[in-house]
Amino acid sequence: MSQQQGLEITLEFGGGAELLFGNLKKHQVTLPACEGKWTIRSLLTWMKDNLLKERPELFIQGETVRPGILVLVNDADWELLGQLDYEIEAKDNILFISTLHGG
Amino acid sequence: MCSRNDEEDGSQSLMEGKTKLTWTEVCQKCSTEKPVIQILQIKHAYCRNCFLAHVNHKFRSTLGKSKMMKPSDVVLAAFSGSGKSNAMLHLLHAGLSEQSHKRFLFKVQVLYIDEGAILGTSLEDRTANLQAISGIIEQYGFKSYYTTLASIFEETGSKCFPLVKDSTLKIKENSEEELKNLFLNVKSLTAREDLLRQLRRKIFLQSAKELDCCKVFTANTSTDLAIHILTDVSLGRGSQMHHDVSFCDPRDASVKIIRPLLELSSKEVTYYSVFHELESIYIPSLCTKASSDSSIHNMSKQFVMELMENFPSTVSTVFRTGEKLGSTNTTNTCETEDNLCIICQMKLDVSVAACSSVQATDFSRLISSLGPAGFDNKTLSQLPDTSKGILSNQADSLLCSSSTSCCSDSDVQCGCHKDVQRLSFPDVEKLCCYGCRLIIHDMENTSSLPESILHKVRTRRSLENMRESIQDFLL
Repeated sequence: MSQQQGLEITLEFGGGAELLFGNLKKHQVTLPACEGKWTIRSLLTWMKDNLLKERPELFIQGETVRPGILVLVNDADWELLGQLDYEIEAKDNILFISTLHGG
Repeated sequence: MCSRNDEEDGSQSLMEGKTKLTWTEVCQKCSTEKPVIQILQIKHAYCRNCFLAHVNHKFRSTLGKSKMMKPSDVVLAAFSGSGKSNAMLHLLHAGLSEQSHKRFLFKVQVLYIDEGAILGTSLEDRTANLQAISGIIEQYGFKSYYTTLASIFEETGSKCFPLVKDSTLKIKENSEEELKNLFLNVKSLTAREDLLRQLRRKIFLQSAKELDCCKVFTANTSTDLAIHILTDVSLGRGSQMHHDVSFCDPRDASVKIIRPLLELSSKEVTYYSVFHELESIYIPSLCTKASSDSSIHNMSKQFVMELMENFPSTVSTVFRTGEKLGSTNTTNTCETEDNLCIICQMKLDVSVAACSSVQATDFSRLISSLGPAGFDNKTLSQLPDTSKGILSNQADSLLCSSSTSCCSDSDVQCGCHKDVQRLSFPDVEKLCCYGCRLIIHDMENTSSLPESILHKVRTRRSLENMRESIQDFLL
């Protein structure tokens, strides 16, 4: 099943993670239409290619986020939502917040 | 508990990583709301309200259990602009507000330390940070002050300034310059970070004394402290680790450093600030954007974070173990100034037992510094009585004699000529604990150390010289 239109979501960064994304705390992005559904896993790959400005290893490790960065989807812990397999819906607000001071 | 993990065929089974748990649809506390956070140690999913109540309760019970807070206390809360320290202010504010069931009776003042000088941040940026900080503190109505890291170089005058909405950063060019030199002088990032931590601690104590506060609150979470434990052990600060990670740091006689967030993990504190929509200002520090293997501190941070990800319950084991590792003779309250480290106020290992690890390390350093041909049967016989730990001093003077003008043996009276005299490495190192000695080792010269530290070295050395010179007259 493919999605016809792009997916509009809000990405937010905090705790220092914004430094890697052009020092901007809030990004409104439209994910391009693709085969299947957007999950956090595919979002991270997309972010690495399109949004990350520098030092990708400080944000992404393997296919997931670096340990110490918390992910909240609509203010809820992503661990409760299936982590990488969570299927992103339109207007979702995804917050990446670093707990690594100085990281 | 004690069973071995080896299988019968000799293969080893490793500890299993985090298993995926399936979560119930409702909060495990109130059974009505949808859960929003998974709290690792308890393996519970809580809803927003139950979670916030849980954090608040833990904070209050940590303070209450300690029985250290008195109604007349004035507390200096250290505020860096981070989400964690903002959460601490929010918790304090909630505890002080009228509606609260059992109101805190102590008073709170807030301190911000400007560290921009060591990173070379422009004055405009530093002033902007300062004003953003004052904006946050203003919401709570706390009396706030700021100071700069460079104030450690100032001898007299007030070092803390009131922080109001449009206050501008007051800096003194020469002490800023001295601070920059000091950090340029230290080569490795590990030593720089360690030095920054020790200086920060000094600033806390110095400011608290100036502002008449008897307690300093810092926003260290249990995750931070687990990182400190591993860093401390790697840096040879094992003996003082207990003070660095427990609820209260009693090293200073009049000001106690207290860590009220130590029962909470970084995750809990971060969620608390997200749910309360607390603003945070990110001010880069020494290790910002540094790779994870750039310093010992970053390495342990990486290690703990990975543990947290894969084996969540082990982090609290690390933390709880560290908390219990205090040795019985480390209570400094009755110690004299004389055998405390000049940098971190930790008891010096002056009277080490024979065959201690301090001696082993010093001996190994001596051998390594002499090179393959330098060691023969005379080397050891030249060394004086080792039971007093003088081995270390000997090693250090051998190491440094080439690079510095060592005057400790030749002229006894020089101890009182303050400004002409340059202190050699062995002079300073003798008065440092093992961990601080490593910082000194990393420096190119000792003259860039803050005057307050150098002054202590001089007074203690001249006292020692005096003691030596009257030795023969004593009965």
